[in-house]
Formats: sequence, structure tokens, C-alpha cells
Amino acid sequence: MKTYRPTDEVDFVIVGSGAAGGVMAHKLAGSGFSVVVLEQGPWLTEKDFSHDELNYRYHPEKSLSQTADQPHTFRAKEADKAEKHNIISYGRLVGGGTVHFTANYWRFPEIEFEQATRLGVPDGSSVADWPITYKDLEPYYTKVDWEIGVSGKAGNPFEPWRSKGYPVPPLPIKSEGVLCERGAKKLGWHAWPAPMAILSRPYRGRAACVHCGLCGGYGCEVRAKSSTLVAMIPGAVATARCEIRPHSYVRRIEMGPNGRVTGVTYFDKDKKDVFQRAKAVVLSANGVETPKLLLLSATGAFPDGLANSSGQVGRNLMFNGDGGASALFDHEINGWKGANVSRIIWDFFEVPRELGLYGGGGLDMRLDVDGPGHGTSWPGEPRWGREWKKRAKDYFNKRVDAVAHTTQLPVSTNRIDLDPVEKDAWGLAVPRITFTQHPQDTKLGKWFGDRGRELLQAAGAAKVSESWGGNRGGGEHLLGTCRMGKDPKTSVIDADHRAHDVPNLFIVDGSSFVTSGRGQPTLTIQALAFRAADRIRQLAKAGSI
Amino acid sequence: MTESGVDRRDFVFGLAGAAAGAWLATHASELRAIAAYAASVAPEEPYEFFTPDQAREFDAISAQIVPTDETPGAREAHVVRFVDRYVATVAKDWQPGFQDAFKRLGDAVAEKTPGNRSFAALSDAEQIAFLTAFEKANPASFDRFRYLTMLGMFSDPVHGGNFNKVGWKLIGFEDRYSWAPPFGYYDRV
Repeated sequence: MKTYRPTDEVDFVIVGSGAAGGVMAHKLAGSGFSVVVLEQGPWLTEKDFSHDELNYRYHPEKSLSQTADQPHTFRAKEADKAEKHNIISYGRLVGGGTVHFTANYWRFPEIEFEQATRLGVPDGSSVADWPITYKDLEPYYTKVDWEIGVSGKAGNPFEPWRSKGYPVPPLPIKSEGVLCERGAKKLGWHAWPAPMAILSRPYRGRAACVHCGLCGGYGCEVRAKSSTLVAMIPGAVATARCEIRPHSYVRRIEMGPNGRVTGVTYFDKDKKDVFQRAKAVVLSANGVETPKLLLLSATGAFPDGLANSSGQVGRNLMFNGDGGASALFDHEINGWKGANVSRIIWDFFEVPRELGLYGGGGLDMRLDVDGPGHGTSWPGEPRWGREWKKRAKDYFNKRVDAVAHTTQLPVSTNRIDLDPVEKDAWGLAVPRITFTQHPQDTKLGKWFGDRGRELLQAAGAAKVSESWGGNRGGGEHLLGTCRMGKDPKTSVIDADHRAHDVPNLFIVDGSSFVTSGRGQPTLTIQALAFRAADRIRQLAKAGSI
Repeated sequence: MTESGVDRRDFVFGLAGAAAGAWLATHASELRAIAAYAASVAPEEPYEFFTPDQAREFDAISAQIVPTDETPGAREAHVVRFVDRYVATVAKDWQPGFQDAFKRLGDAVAEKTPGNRSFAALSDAEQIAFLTAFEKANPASFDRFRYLTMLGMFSDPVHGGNFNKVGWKLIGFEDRYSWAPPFGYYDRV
């Protein structure tokens, strides 16, 4: 691997190596630029991953984010005192959250990008049109499908138009998928093979899925899951222009006297300060870490945080909404084998407005318990003892959940800022999350929960639980906190992902979102990254960075 | 949200009853040490966290939560040994809560059978009746007992519980980690 000295002024420093950072590294290095990627976590390979949920799923270095070293705080309202909490998670390793994600790869429907115009703006929300349309993004959605490696089947009547099909066919249908189809058919809905960033066939030198069943929360041991760790980073390194530098925790974006970024300062593995020079900086640190870093980088000219003349840095935090229900069937489903989802239902990307609902979402069926279940039970039935033990196998093998993934509205007061008290192990202020879901989202989540229940009933479930939903206040989808827009007064970045306030600072990750999408965001984060890399390359070649 | 509808969410985000996900995440690096321990511990070795009385109590409780009948239960899974090591090392944060749960248990037993604080001393039928009431009256303490028992039943045997994979056998989980369709009944062609 090519390496650089911190004193070398590289073309780009990229902060973060996840869904967006991995793509940016690959594309910018591939375009001939010198690139250093700073990743706060370690650089692991498939040999480091295992299926031991106790040792691994919650292993701070190997999978999710919550460590004692880097806490965050939460409060529902600005008037409340924020307390240490555990409501968000993200990957701290090369590949970021794509290493341990479940890999649902949904395109946003066209309406997502022009929602304010087409649906209006609900009171108390900050819904706005994106400065780009589906048409602008479509070629890059297709690039993700083909360059990252997505399994699927074109032709879903509820998917927006696409210029090309999928590179590999869908993963095999599972029992949950068959039941999803059965229920949908009865209700007049349409179940369709789920698009998943997990290879159903060998592709580009990577193996096909072996259906181990443990995707969400685990690194893939056969490199079938299309994380940027395996699908993008190796190509970036192969250019001999890109250095991936793990254990590098950026604490400040440095500004020169001319209002331009000069590089970043980070803690190395030994917590020593290092300044890496760069001609331009790309932030792909995720929807919480990116605004945190901007807020930590306040200067005399930007007292409220770098690139924050709009006051929008950290605001409009979204996680996506959800809802659903659980069921027991008469026969074995064994949802613990194979990738989590094999069929999806997108009939409700546009929920009937006469119901007083705003936005939309999609449904899937999956076993929504972790690993070997750890004592899964059923509401109202014994949770222990002889009776529970008799049914334990059924609770695990005959159980399935209908889960909806939905719109969550941007609200200006839902935000991350810097906690005034709590510090992380490096002495940096920790992110403080202020979040209360918009009442409209509560209604939407409940409505989708009821649809999930209906679907399970129609599929012939022996028992269906009460529905749940409309109560999402955390998770892995970290969106909206440096929104893109045309107006520098109301947005942080422009349609080229360039900070309105700083010409050589770019922001590309979930924070760029204007609205949450109707479910699964990672594909769109990566389509934005492919597009941003194209735009940045053009700007650089034109000498306008 | 229903209890069963959020199993995974609870586990991951530490909401509702089980703050386990949050807690596990902050301590899991120490888990590797358990593996080495589990391979080496002899039955007569002293406990690290439990007093002998507590070990006896927790043995009785966990054996009611997952009883031994025609198939192995918590005892055969070595749940007590797993939990002892777990709470002594990785789950240190849980020690005060766990101690509190034992105290509540003892108080409740004493209330029921004056002069006796030992759950283990009750008859099988008394234990079941008592634990049923305790679950309602002290849900947090009961959930702590239950959750740790389930971890000991179903976690990878490398951690000292789920001995001989008896927990996995109970629920039909197989650690093959490589499957081909059909996965279940409904996707048989």
C-alpha cells in the first residue's frame, strides 16, 4: 500500500471509511488523486470475524460502536438534561457500518426528492426538496448495484425506473419470503425479491453467500456481503495512490488564513496528535460523527462550528421510522438460516393521503431476534419453566416478524450538538442527541405496524402479536445533519456536496440527506458518494477546488 | 411495542427491560478471557462472584427457569458456572443489581416462609409458585435472573455455558453456519 507522510500535502483526506468513505476512496484514488483515508477503528479482515454473538456482536473493536470510551448523551427536549445513553450505533472499523449491516439495498422512489413540492411540508417539520432528483442519481444507483455488488431482480412495479438490471440474481427465497408472498397476494399487495448487498453468485472475485444466517451485527466470513471493506477498499489500495490509515481519530479540521481547509488533526493509535496536510477534505464520518467534527472545529470566523453559517450543522437528525408485528406459524420457518430478508413489499411508498398520513415505507418479513434467540418467548405465554421449555423450539423456529421501514420527518430541533459536560477517552466533547419524533411519524409507524399485522394474518399465522410502531428514537441510520440544498442560509452543502462556507471541504454521508427516505438508506448514501466523487473530480480537473 | 416484537431491538439498544446490549457492548472485550477459563475450570474450583449460598440459590432459580425434564436444562448447561464467571469479569457493572436481586429474593422468601431466606430450600412446587409471584412483584430482579440464565443456555459454549450445546439442541439451532434451501417448511418446492 502506498503511504504518505503527514507533511505530504495529499489531494484529499477522507475522514471515515464506511458506506460513503470507502466509495470516495475508491473513486477519487481511481481518478488519479492522492488520498489518505483516516479511520478511527481497526482494519480487520474476514479472518477476524466469527459467529459468536456474545464475543463478537457486541465486541467494540470488531463490530458495533458503543464503547465506554466514546459515549453519547440523549435528551428528548432541549429543556431536559442529557444523560449518557445508548440509542445510536455505528461501525468503528474500516468499512464502517457496511461490515455489520443487514444489507437491504432499496432505491428511494422519485417522490422522495421532491416531497415538499408534491406533498407539502407538515407543521413542525423541515421537509424540503432535494437539490437533485432521482434522475440525477439514477446512474449512480446503478453504479452501486454493479460496482458494490447487489443481488436482486428488476421489474418491481413500485421501484422507480432503472437503466440496468442487477449484476446477480436475487438470493434464494426463504420460508418468510414464501409467507410474505402468500400474505401479499391475499391482500392484493406485491411481494418482490429483496435487493440485498449480499452476493447470490460469485462476482468480481468474491464468493457467493453460504446462508449462514448471521448478517446484521456480524462481519461476513466469506466476503459475500458487499461491504466497502471488501468491495471498495481493496480497489482503492490497488491504485497505489490511496493509504488507509486505521486507528486515526480525527478531532479537528484545520483552517488556513484564506478561509480554506489545510488538513486535519487526528489522534493516532497512541493518542498522539498528528496533522495530515491536504488540498481538500472529504467528511464521510457518518450522520453523527460528521457534524460533531464540524462543531469541534469552530474558529473565530465560524464560532458556531465550521461550515455552519446556516446554523444547520447537526440539525434535522433522522433515523427512519418503523413498525411491525410478530407471528407464530404452524410449521418451521427457521428464519435464522440465510440472509435476513428475501421478499419486500413496496406498495406503500406513497401512503394514501386521505388517511392523514405523510410519507411512506416498505415492509419485509424476517426473524427479528438475535443469534440463537436467548430465550425468545411469546407475549402472554410463560417465559420460563416447563411450559416455556416445551415451546422454546417453536418460539425460535416458527416465529417470524413483519417489519416496516418508513419515513421519519426532519425536525429542526432534533439534532446532535456537543455535550457541555461529558468527554470521551480522548478528552473530546461527546455528541449530545436531542430527539423527539414528529407526531406524524408516530401515526405512520402505527399504521405500518397494523399493515404488518394484517400481512401476517393473511399469510395464515397461527398467532399474531399486537402491532408496534411509531416509536423510533435511535438506531444505525444516522441521517440529515448536514443537509444539502441550494440555499446557503438553510443548508450546509450544495448539490456537489461542497460546504457552502468552505470551498475545499466536502461532506458525503448520511448527513447529506434532506429527507430520510422510506426505509433503507445505505444504497442512497453510496449513490450520493459515487455521484459526489464524479462531481469532485470534475471540479478538481477544472481547477475550481 | 410487544415483548417479542422487540427482542432484537432490546438486545441491541438496551431499551425496555434489558439494558444488556448497551452493557455488553462496553465490556465485551473481556469476554475472550472467559473462553480460556471455560476450558480449564474444574467443578470443585471456588466461585469468583457467588458466595456458596448465592451459587446454591442461583442454581435453584436457573433450574426452575430452564428445568431439567426429558431434556437437559440450566444445570446441564452449566449456567451457574457461566454466570459466575461472567458477572465476576465482563458483567461487573451488574454486580450491584444482581446483589440487590438476591436480597429481594431473600426478603420475599422470608416473607413467605418466616425464618427462611433460601429459595433453594423450598420444595419444587413451592419454588414454582414463589417464582411466579416474584416475577410479577419484582420484574426487574426476575428479568436479571432470567436473562443471565438464557445467556448461559444459548451463548456459544466457548464461554462456559450451553455445555455440550444443550441449549442449542433445545431450540433446534445448529452451528453449521452454512445452509442451502429449503431453509424451512414453507420454501420446500
